[in-house]
Amino acid sequence: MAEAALEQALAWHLRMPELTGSEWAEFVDWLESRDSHRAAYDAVAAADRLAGEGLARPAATMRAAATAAGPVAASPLRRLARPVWGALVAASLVAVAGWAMWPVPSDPRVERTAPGTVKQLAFADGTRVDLNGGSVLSVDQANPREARLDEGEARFSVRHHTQPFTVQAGGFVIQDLGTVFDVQLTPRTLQVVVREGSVSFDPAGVALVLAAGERVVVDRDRNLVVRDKVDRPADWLAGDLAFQNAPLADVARAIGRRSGANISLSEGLSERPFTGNIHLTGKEDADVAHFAGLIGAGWHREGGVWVITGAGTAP
Amino acid sequence: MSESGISAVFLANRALVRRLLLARTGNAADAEDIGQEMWLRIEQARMGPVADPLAYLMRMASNLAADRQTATRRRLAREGGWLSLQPKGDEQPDPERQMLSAEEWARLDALLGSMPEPMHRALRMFRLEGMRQRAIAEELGMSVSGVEKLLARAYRRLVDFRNDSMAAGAPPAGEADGRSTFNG
Repeated sequence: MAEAALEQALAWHLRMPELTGSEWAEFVDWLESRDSHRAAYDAVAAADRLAGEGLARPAATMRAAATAAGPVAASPLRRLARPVWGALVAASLVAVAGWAMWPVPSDPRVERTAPGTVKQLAFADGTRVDLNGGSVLSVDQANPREARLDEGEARFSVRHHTQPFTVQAGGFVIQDLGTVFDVQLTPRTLQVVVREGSVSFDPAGVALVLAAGERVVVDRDRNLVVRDKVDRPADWLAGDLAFQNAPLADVARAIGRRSGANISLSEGLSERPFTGNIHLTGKEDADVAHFAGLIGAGWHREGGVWVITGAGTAP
Repeated sequence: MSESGISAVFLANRALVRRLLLARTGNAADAEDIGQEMWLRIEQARMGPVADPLAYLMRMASNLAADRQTATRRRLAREGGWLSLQPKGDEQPDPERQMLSAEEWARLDALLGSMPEPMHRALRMFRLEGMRQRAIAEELGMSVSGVEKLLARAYRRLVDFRNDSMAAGAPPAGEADGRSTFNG
């Protein structure tokens, strides 16, 4: 392989995450200009894959592989990758103090939570899921490393190992790279916030790697994916909610999920944007009154429903 | 960006995307297939742009091309008769990993383990954690150009490793992963 071509291929590859559209065009020009360029970049791309594969393996397995003469495939983690294994793990899902026990049957399991009730699910591999109230999560018990968030919000605290943990939500795939992350799905948006470690968003496509403190928000109606940073991600589990230009309908939904309050917005309020932070105390009436106060609206109770009314001034 | 945003960017830059795919895969049929796949993905999965829509599309194209290259090499390797290197019986790993024998795994781990600590850390931060070179430089207390050199050396070792594997008649290592990720 030509040395100069390899050197250039490496330089391109290392800059690739930061290339702009027009720099990509220069990269294509470079690729096309010589056979040796294409061959060199092909080798670098294969090396990149090799690095990803090797680095993603847990340290314990690596040590075993480096010292033992025996086949790596015989180590427990490697064995986990075989199909038989799904049943074993499904059968050994454990319950941790007060956490929900997942029954043994190997069918897809659907967990639903009532508004205001957070459910904690623990897996045998150490992965933990906090499912917010008003949410629906499906897990294929034959493969507990795959979950689908159908509605609502969950925090995934994933124990990383050879088989990646993936979450599907709103038609997208989110894959852990050893991490804690929040996924929130509403009819309007899908939001992924990485709290620790990193995840790959849409790994089969654009494969955006999001690091801790980064967020992706997908506007499901408008086909828009926005990636940004959140300095201090709000901790919904602790009752802290943060909103940036969110329609009040989403705010009411978020409050309802966590607190259990059934909030109805009077006409005209749903679309109004809200920016601000709300701390939930756990006392429904106080929380609803606080919310109404923040948006300058009135409230009253009709049966089990908190009705927010009035053309209060926008915050 | 309107609903036609990413689609419009794709259509406007279709020629450039195709040139990248053609250069990476080396054949028109694969380039065409991947282009179709991208189109479906954009239309159905409702992918939208992130900051620079063209860069986003090009990354997607590049990743999909790397996948295609892997699949092609697997097929060629199978036809090339390196069966003796495959793990046997209950060692048989899942299909995603069939290209790396136990021996290859051990050698890959040894290679990564033999890297000096800063090199290993830089590679991990770049490749696995998606960190920018500037951030890696801060983490390691080095200059950005120092980090670039360190990463280039790490990749050179991996390229050499892969070339050695191929020269030894083993399947090209590095084809076992499901995906090549360009961090960002």
